[in-house]
Formats: sequence, C-alpha cells, structure tokens
Amino acid sequence: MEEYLHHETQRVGEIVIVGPPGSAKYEFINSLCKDVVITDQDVIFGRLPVGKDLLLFLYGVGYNGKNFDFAWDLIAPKMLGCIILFDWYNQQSYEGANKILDFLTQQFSAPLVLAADVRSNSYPIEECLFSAGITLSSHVRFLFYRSSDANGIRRAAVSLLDALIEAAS
Amino acid sequence: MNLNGQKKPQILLVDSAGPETDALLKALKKEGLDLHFNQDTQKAFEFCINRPPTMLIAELEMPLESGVQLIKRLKSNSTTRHISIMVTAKEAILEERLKSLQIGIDDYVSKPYYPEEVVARVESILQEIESIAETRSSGEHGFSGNLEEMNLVDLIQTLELGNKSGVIYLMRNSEEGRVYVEDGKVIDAQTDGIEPEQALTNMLTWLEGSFKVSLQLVDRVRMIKEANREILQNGTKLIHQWRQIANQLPPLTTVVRSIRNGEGGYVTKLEKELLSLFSEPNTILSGIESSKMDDLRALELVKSLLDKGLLIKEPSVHQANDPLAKNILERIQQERRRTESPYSRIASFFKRKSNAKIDLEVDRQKEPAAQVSDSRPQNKASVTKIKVPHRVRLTKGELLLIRQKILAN
Repeated sequence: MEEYLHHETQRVGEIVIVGPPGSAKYEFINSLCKDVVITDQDVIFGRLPVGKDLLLFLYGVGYNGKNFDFAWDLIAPKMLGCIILFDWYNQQSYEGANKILDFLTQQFSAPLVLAADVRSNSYPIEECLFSAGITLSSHVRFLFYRSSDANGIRRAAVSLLDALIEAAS
Repeated sequence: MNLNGQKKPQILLVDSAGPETDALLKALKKEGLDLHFNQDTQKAFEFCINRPPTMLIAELEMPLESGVQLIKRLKSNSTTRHISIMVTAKEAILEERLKSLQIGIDDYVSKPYYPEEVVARVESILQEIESIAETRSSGEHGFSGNLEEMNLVDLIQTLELGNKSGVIYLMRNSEEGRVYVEDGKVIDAQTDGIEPEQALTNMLTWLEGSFKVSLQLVDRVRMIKEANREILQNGTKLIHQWRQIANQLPPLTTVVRSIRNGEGGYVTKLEKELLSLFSEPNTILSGIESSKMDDLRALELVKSLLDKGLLIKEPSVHQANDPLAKNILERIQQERRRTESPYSRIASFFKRKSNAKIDLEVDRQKEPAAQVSDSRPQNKASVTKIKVPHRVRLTKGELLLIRQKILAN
C-alpha cells in the first residue's frame, strides 16, 4: 500500500476537501483524479500523479455537525490547504460550512477556498461574481461552482493553488 | 520532435566539473537526451546563439561570469530568450539570487541535489514544452472566453505565470483592443486612437464582453513602461473603483438621454462634453466608449449627471404597452429582490473571518503547538492556543505543475 501511495523520492502535496453531508466531495475528487478510493474510515482518497516525481493527494473528509473523524494531526502540518464544499441552497449545508470554516480558521493558517455548489440552478448572483470569486481575506477565498461541471471543479482547485502560488511569489 | 525540429530535446548543462555534475550528466544521458556540457559561460552563450537548445540547466555560482548574468544575456537576446531555464545553486544563496533574477526561469533546484530529482523536473518541463508545441501544431494557438469570467488583470496574470508571449484581443460592445505580452510582460496596448498607456488603463476596466488570447511570438517595441506588478495593482484598484460606481448605476446597457445639451449653469466642461453624447438616446456604455476621456472618469461623470437629473432613463415603448414585457420586468425585479439574500449570506462569511482574524493576532504572540486534536475543540480558550503554522512544502514550480495538470485534466 505504501508503495502504491508514493515512493521515497517523490514529492507530495496534499489538499483536504471538507464538507457537510451531501456536499458532493466524492464527485469533486473523482473529477480531478482517476484514482479514487473510499477508506474504511469513510475518507475519500484521491491520487493525482503530476509527473514522475510529484503527486497530489486529495482527502475528502465529512463533517457530521459535531466532529471530524479525521487524523488532522497527521495531515494538517503538511497540507497545502483546504477546500470547503457546501450546497448553496441547503440551509443545513450552509450552517455546516460556517462551522467548518470556524474550525479550520481557528486551528490552521493554511489557505481555504469556500466553494458554494449551486447545482443545476441559475447563478444566485450576477455571473461576474460567480465567475471571479471573492477574496474574503488573505487566507480565504469564496466562489460558486457546480458539482456537475468539471470546469467549475477545476476552477475551485486552481483557486487554492493560485493562493499558494501568490503566497510563494 | 521538439520545438527546434530535432528528434531529441537538446539540453545544455552549464556548471563546474565535479562529482555532482558527473552524476547529473550520467542521469540525463540515461534518459536519452541530446546532452551538452560547458564550464565556460561565454562559450555556453555562444552555443545558445548558434544552436539554441531546448533547455538550459545553469549553475548560478560560476567562476568567471555568474549564472545570473548568463541568464540575463540569454533573456535579452531574441534568439535565445525562449530557451527554458532551470537554475541550480546552494540553498543558502539560491533565494537571494532568484530575487535578483527579474526574468523568467522555469524551475530551480538547490544543491546538493539528487540527480533523479533534477531529471524528473527536466522531464516535466520538456513535457510542458512538448505540449505547447503540440497545441501550436494542432492549430490551437490560445484560448478565448468572456471578460466576466476572466478580465484583463486575470489574463495578464495567467500569461505572466507561464512567461508566455502573445496577443490578448478584447471586445466590448462596439470597441476592440489589443494587449501585447512578451515573455509574460505587457509591452504594448492599442485601442482606437489612444496612447498605449491610456488604452491599457481603459481596458483594465472592461468587465463585460469577450476576449481571445493568441499565443505567439511578439516582436514589438516596448511602449508600456510600467512593470506588470504596477499594472496589476493599478488594474485591481481601477476595477474596484469601477464596480463601486457601476453598482450605484442602472445596468450599463440602459438607454439614457440628456434632458438638455449642457446649456445653463452648474455643468462643467467635461460634463457638457459627455451630455452631448447623449443628446440622442444612447446606452451608458456606448456613451462612455464614445467619450475621449478615460472610461472610469466618464463613468463617474455619468453617475454625477444621473444624480443631477441631467441624464434620464429613456422610457421603453414596450414597457408601457406590452403586457408580456411588463411581466418580464416584474420577474426581473423579483429576482433582484431575491438576490439580496446571497449578498448577506456571503457577508456572513466575511464577518466570521474577521472574527477569526482577531484570534489569529492573539495566536501570533504564542508559540504554536505541533499537535492538533482530531475532534472539534469544545471551548474557544483551548482553540486559540492550538494553531498549526502553515508551511508549504512544495516549490512554486511544483505548485505551477499541479495547477497545469489540474487544468489539463
């Protein structure tokens, strides 16, 4: 299994995708990686080889409204950042996203992207805002996306990477 | 086939001889690359002029001329500026030297390195070069889209990230413009009869319309003196100002007309000039485009004239008579009312973040612990004591590779 994950010379980046139930985490990860498994602990794990020497791991983590069943102590110190998914039109999902945001901003300094899934509905606000996204702070970006649209999913992932690239510049 | 039409990509390694260099040469040869090695930067430069390689791997600390100087010479020469470059140096000096290199390099590796790591990175860069070459040969020379999705600031940033050269074509309403980018830097801009600097400033606020980016070699005299950083900062500021004003106006496609042609008191010369463009019913955007002043200034004046009542909305004939049009307008109004809640919802995220920011300031005073609990902490006092510092373990080059991979999927 270890060999399957990566070998010693490979460099690994890790992104955590987190969201309340029904926030389409599997669809999100599956759209970015061909190689996706669900572990015994209900963590969705996606593996994206970027080159011979570089890998991206995506972890899909659920939040049941009380706690996370996830080994944050192992992942958090080296993760690139988190993407919080939630269903824009579902009040419970929205409240869950708020709690997750509280948890992550209080515990970690990593960049975060809040991705609001508008499903198949029309954009809730002007399309220019939908497309451009909003920078909430130096650490948090907000954007709308559709879980059924691979381009939107890519845009959300790229938004996190852009935050990291900007920080590295 | 590579960009130079050769079967094997050609790599030039510029470094002093030694066991580390030998190991790297051996590892690169194993990959079947057309490999050349030079210890003299002047000879390396001449080699690049006569036979530009696909890629150069240059050590920054060389005895006669520094690698930084060599790279600057190559980047300032039209024959060699497109060679992909990877630099190597001891970690202690790498960061400082990279800062002095205000030119594009594709990747860097600190010494001592594993030859396999360098080979892997070289392969990644060669794959990127090949992919660009394939895109060009397949006739796809760029990309296109809507300015609502990507405005000029976003487009410049995208080309800058990849050190790409090309022309950005912008279309808004009846206007067209071009921005020329060379190796990621903006060098010229054109719209009808306006100076390049002013044309660029105007186009930075084009937030509706379409664009097309044509990736190609650009060979023009540099007309824009500002560095990209200044342009982007200015652009972000202008967009913010534009949106602030535009949000207080009806949609820019709204037809308005002047109720008098600027005659009488309390109208400035510029306002009078703008009013004359609306003597016949005209959309706000068309009026701004026709005006000789810069777009943002024209927008400000339109707002001022609307506030003064010197510009009024042209009533639509359909609005009054057609029941179907009435129904549609009513639905639009309903939708506008409905969309007020999304703003407040997003604002709640802002509010939460600003609270969290206060916590962060408190945390900075304390040494962060390396341990995080698995479940959500129960009280806030314990939360503020535990904060994991964020350290990105990947290089900028690696992040860019991941970004590219995601977009290419």
